[in-house]
Amino acid sequence: MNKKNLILLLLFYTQVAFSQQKVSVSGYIRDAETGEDLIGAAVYAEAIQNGTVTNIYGYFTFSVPVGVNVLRITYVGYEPFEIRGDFKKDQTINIDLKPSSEQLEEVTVTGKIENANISKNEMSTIQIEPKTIKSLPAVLGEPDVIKAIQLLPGITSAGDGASGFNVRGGNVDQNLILLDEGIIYNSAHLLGLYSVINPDAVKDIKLYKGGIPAKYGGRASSVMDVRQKEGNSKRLGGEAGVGLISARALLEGPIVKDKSSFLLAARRSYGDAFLQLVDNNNIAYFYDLNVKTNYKFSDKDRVFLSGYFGRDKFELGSIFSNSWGNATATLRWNHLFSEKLFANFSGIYSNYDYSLDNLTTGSEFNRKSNIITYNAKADFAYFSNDQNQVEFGVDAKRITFKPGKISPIEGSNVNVFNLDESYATELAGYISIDKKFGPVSITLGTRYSAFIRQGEQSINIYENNQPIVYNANLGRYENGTVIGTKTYKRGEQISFFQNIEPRLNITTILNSATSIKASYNRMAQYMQLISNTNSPTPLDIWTPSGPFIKPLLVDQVALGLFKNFKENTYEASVELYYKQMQNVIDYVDGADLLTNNFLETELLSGKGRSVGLELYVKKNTGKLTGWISYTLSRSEQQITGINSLDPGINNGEYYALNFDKMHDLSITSMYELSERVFLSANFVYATGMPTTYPEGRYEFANLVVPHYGQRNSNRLPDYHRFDISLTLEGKKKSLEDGGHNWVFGLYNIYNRKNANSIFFVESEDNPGQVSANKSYLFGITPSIIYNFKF
Amino acid sequence: MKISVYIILLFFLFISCEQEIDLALNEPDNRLVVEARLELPINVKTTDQFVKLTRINNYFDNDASTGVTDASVNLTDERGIEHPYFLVEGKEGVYKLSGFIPKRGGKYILNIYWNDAHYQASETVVDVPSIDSVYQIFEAENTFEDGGLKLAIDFTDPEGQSNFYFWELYVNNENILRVDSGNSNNVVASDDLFNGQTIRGYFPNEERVFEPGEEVMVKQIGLSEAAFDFYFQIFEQTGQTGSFIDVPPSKINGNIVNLTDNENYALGYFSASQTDTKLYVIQDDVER
Repeated sequence: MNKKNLILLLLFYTQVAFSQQKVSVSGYIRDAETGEDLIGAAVYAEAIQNGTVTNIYGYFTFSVPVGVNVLRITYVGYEPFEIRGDFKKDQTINIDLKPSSEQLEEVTVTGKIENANISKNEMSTIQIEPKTIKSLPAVLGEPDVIKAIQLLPGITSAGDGASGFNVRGGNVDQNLILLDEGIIYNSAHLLGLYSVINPDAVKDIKLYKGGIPAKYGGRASSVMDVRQKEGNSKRLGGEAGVGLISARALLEGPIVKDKSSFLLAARRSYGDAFLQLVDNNNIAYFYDLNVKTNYKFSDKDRVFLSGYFGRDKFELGSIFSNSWGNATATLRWNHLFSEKLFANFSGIYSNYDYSLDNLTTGSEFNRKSNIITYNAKADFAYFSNDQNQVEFGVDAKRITFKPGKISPIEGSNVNVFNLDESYATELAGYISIDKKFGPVSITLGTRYSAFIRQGEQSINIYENNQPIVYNANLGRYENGTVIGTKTYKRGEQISFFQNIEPRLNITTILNSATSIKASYNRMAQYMQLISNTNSPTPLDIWTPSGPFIKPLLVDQVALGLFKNFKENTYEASVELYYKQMQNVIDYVDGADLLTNNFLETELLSGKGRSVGLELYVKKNTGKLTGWISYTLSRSEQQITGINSLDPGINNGEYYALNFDKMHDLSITSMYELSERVFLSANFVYATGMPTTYPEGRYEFANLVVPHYGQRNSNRLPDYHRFDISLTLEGKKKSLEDGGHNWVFGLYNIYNRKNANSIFFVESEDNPGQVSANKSYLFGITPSIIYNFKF
Repeated sequence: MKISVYIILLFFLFISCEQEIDLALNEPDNRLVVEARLELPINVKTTDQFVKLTRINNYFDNDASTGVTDASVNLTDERGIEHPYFLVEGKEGVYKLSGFIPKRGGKYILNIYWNDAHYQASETVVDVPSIDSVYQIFEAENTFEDGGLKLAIDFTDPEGQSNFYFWELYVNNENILRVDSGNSNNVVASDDLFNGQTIRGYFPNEERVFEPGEEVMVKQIGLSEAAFDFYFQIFEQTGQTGSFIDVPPSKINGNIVNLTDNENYALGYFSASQTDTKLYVIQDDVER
């Protein structure tokens, strides 16, 4: 109730701050050739030396003094545009920007480039264009968003082929991945070799590592907001590519010219081409499908419908077959209540499912799990004047967790087995106020989130409320004693959590090429992925917070210095962050998580921390472009016992997280050899990941058993590799010809066998003899891809 | 079932490569390792009981002798009577209690005195159903297994109770178990998915291809849930494949308590099990 008053008060405050001598200018900025809305295009008014950028729907609103004004609109890769006019009353201007041709790019080098990285009140963000992703050398030539962002500061992964990514010491499950607002629960194709985001179908990828805006919530470490293209509203066209792993095709065009368009993109990998499987009955492939359509009723009302459907299938002859995939559908309505009040209403459905068929004769069964989310939200942006803006909104989710149902197939006599389903409602409301005081911009926001875990479910009651107890005699954790069960009826509240999540960003512009920024965010996460494999797999179970697992809370502060050189040709930043995590969980030794209805008996909780320094230098223009990124960091957690005498994990001391890398360096460069020949190169160096080595061996059950020491107390050898790729653009035969190109790549050119893991096994042929082995994924790997547009 | 799930992910083996490497490892503390099982064979009047005591050793020391020969071992029965074990000549670290038959459901305590410490473990004898039949099946080669003659069994799981199984196969009195990532799948089983049913064509060791004429002894062993967890972990930890889906390496805690100093823990397990043994001689594969 207090909260509601607060919102009203703030709204009132921004109302009275209205300025009388100014008029507002608003509108959409679009690509002149495709009609795509441009996200983050800069609008700058010379008279007041101030500007704004378009929002994620390409909309801007802004105020200028009454009278003659010059507005300059700039966007990377587009010709700058200037409007000179006498502004007497509020007006709407829609602007179509022309993509710059290659010759013009040379001109822009000497011209003035936007310095949004300096002036914009946000830090710890990463924006990467699909075009850049496609020009980077990649494993087997397959351009991949999640592999590409790992070349940027603060982003790591648990090795080649590990699924997902880690942001500033956060686990893979702490990234909110949104594809047109739909939540993607598993970002991996082929268990992590590739990601589910098709670079052809997206136009904007933005990752927040810190200073996360109040409108986002639900995950503790980062937000990756991916926006799909709307589809060309001017003419029918498309592109296609053929590589070693997959083929992709995209078709887009107007349905009603300038009013409605569609986009259809598909990717499919070629069966088992690269799995050297002996048996012809084996299948392994993925595909994904992106669809989007929109209709502009007027400049005030637009409706978008978008969908993503992806699937991996893996089948081994008559042994088993499994498949998993994400499906999301988003219906959005953009509405302008006035030039100053922009609103977006979304209804989103998301379903992640995993299915396994065991086909072993006699015990055929199917195991199926799902996580289904229904999400409704409303977001508003109210622009009061160029010194005051406010964003607010509400968000409601209904989530059903179905961790697994096992049922017999093909007439087998396997017993039906059900893991308990869980139900939850997640509610949130936020408000965020932007204010400018001369060179200082402040964005102060807060998000209120609530999570209600609901029945129908039976919850165990444990002696002393301890689901897990320490047996000091045997030196191990054991299940607590169940003293009863409480059955909750459908919809009945089992647990209730709520959190206030403050967000703050401050930018002080020292001059047009230098600024200092600081941010703070608190994030609450009400579901965690419980995994006891080295990297998440599709089988891992998303588990909601509840009576035994508390919500994960993360507080992060970050400080940064941003500086551009040579007329913004070079942009550089230094960021320092510190993060604290509460209620992190880890499994105890020997935990059985897959078919366990009572995960609470296998988990301990504790706290985590991550500290890091990120350096980034990027060259934006010229024949040579690219960046250098370096991160110095430490990410660790501490899991103490339930009582003070329990050892917890690693005797209750801090230990490194699986993906912790002290040094992480990437050098990425793209060089234009001639108008049609481009060379790209990457160099990556990182400290080896934590691992656990045995301290000794013993014999048991006729086998040699390694006796392991403290968790993650050893390190793999350092990781480094060098990749190159060459792009040859074909000649365009006519203006309509979209062009075609060949991309040749060589990954890991000096063939370093970077260890993914080091594991210890006894010889099968010489029992009693043991060895340490490293497994590695890619030695030197050539690739070739052909792309064309039409 | 947790198994099949595990198999899936062997997927990674197809695209990853392996290389043996040299590595310097820390030296272990001097720790006792206990491998002991009190057996109650079905339909057998008398049997000998064995305990094997070894020491933990440097991981790469392939040839060191690790048997512990200077311990004193006894078994306390339910009436508090102590039955001593004696070191077996020529078998380093093996201790024998001759002609002892435990009671069904009886609780027994194993005591070991070594290096000024008293180690103890207690376990209750766990029932096991008998093996219905033993026979051979020709299995075609597949992605995970060599093709050939495999040994299969039928058994009937008792209804309305949780049962845990462990199988040992012997050829010429030698345990034929070898390291394999599938062991956690075959060599032990829980009746989660087949409670109360008759299981037909179960491979207690799917790795081993048998030759006609080999005489195989199959021993079906009942485990407590804790013992099953222990064996399962032993098989998981010895079956690492180097892929991302391996369970993370971890210490395996058994049920041996050091009563003198619980920091100086011992490794291994003392189980008490009803067992059923059947013999089978592999035949020429006439059906093919």
